[in-house]
Amino acid sequence: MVGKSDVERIKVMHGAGGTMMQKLIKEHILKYLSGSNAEVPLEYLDDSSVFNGIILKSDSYTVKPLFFPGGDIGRLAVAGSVNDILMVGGEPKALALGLIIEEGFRIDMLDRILRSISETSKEANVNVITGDTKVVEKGSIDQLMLNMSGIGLRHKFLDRNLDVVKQYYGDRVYRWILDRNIMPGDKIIINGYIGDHAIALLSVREGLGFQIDVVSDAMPLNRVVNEALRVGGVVAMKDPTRGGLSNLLNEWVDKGGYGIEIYEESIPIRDTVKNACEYLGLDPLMLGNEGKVVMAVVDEMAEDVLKAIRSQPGGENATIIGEVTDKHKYVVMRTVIGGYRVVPPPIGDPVPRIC
Amino acid sequence: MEEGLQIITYGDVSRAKGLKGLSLEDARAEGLRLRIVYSFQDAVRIALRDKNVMNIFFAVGFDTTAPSTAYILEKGLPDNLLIYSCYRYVPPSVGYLLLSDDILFDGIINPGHSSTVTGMKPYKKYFDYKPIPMVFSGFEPIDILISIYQVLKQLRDRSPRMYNEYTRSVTWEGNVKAMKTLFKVFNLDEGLWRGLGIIDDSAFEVRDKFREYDARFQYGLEKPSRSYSMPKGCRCADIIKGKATPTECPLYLKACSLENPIGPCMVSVEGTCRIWAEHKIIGEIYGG
Repeated sequence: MVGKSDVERIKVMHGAGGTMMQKLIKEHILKYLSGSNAEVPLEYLDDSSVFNGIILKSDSYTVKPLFFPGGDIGRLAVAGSVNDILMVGGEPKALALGLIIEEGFRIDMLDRILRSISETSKEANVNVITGDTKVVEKGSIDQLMLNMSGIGLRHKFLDRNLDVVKQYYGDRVYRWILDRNIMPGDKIIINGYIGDHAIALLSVREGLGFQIDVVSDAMPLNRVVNEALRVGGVVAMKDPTRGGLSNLLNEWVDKGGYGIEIYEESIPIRDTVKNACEYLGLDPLMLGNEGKVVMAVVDEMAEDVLKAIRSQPGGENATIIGEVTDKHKYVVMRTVIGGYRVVPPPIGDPVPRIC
Repeated sequence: MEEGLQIITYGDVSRAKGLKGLSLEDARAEGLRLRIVYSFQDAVRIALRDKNVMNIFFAVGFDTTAPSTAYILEKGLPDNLLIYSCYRYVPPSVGYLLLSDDILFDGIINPGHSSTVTGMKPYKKYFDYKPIPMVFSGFEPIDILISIYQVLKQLRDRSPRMYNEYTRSVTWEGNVKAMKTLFKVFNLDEGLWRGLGIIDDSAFEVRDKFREYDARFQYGLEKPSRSYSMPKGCRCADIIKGKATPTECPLYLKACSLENPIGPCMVSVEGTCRIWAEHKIIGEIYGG
């Protein structure tokens, strides 16, 4: 049964948002599917793509358990897809919902999830306007999976934002907010505490089940992004979902060609999350978030953007955590005791250190 | 009853590469039934539920995790659960370093969590043999700084001692109850340590009294230790003993790299070579 491995197979790690997934995408998916004439094409591997002025995004949701402190798979699906449209400078306009349901799934559960989708859509000022429903035989999947795709249009404040950027980086022309845009000197801003979502999920995972006063941060980020773009100076934006902050920053370094320095003491982490990480042997920088955005902002505008974000729900604890540098091409963290260490991208899902 | 085997283990173990370069996660993609747990207790729960398979708990870890396994095992396991013990006892590994005549380091910082269980006492014989500064340290940055300071101070004053920096957790006797249970269930045997080789009395083996739960006994498996040899050219052993730096290894950043690790010091995320390679840039840019 086990033994010869001359055939390469998909592993769970291939879908975990780390270097294994990057490799799979680059060596297989892009090999066959790249080469479109889209303005922001697949091969940019950004949060969304752009075709003919329309921002397009597709995302699937397989979270376990379906209900968790602070949210459920429905809220996650709306927030996740809406946020990815926002991240490139789009304004989410419509969603498409694909439901894949296991035979035997309770309809009252389905109702709860659909209600959650409806409520979160209202919060994000968007509607589900098309979709698809499939039921598969018991055992084919675990309960329920969702696909949430969406379209957006150019954000009403995007051009204003880019005009401000232009005042400082006149020689560089940006049309969208992309990972590759980062420039030395840009300040790195995050809108609040990291790790809440991952720890809230772990706390209700089978076999773990610990009591903790933390709920998932899953939320659509429309208002935070609106305010940031209204002030202007945002060069790059990305949500630190799978793979967390360390994966996000390493992707920026990879695509932007510059290094990033972050300051350990300024990264917002709740004490409870920090403690849970120590107890579970996890690195908070690698934990997924569902209501966080990291922005690279022109140095001169950083304080103004920060102030604007803080005025919005979901942005109260925003802070500057680092900056882009041309000194190297790594993510380097200045630690609380004044040392430096390289922050590597995660390989796959964070595994607890126990042994 | 048996419909095959299911391996139960910790998450970090599932990803560690074996001697043939394959991990349990790799094996799962090939069809192995693998379950990840946080504790042996969860393994018992799984065995009680998955009654139609034989469950093997692949027990890897140190004095820190072994006692909780021993505690449960002592009370008896479900019929379909066995343990494959690879638990290691830390003090003899530190002893191994101190007893070898060719060490080049001047002091030693002992692990706080392991020492919380074992206590400082098992280290006394090694310290007596080679009295160099020996500090039992916590893991917070400030703990490490204080411990380094303490080593330096003892060196300056020429007064090597066994010093407990981690007083909020470590005691001289350790967790007496845990140690008692541990040795009731396990006895010590020679154990293989990657990069170091065989160390006497450093591996926890299930005692004969409990061999009905011992996968190695039930399946007649040999211990693999004697057949292990280090990759050719690899200087991990010297590096661990402080006799060589990674740059003095002929494989470092040549045949053996972050992308293609060969020696255990590069394979492990906490290995000296990996840390040197990952943080090379720090020295170059920040003058570390």
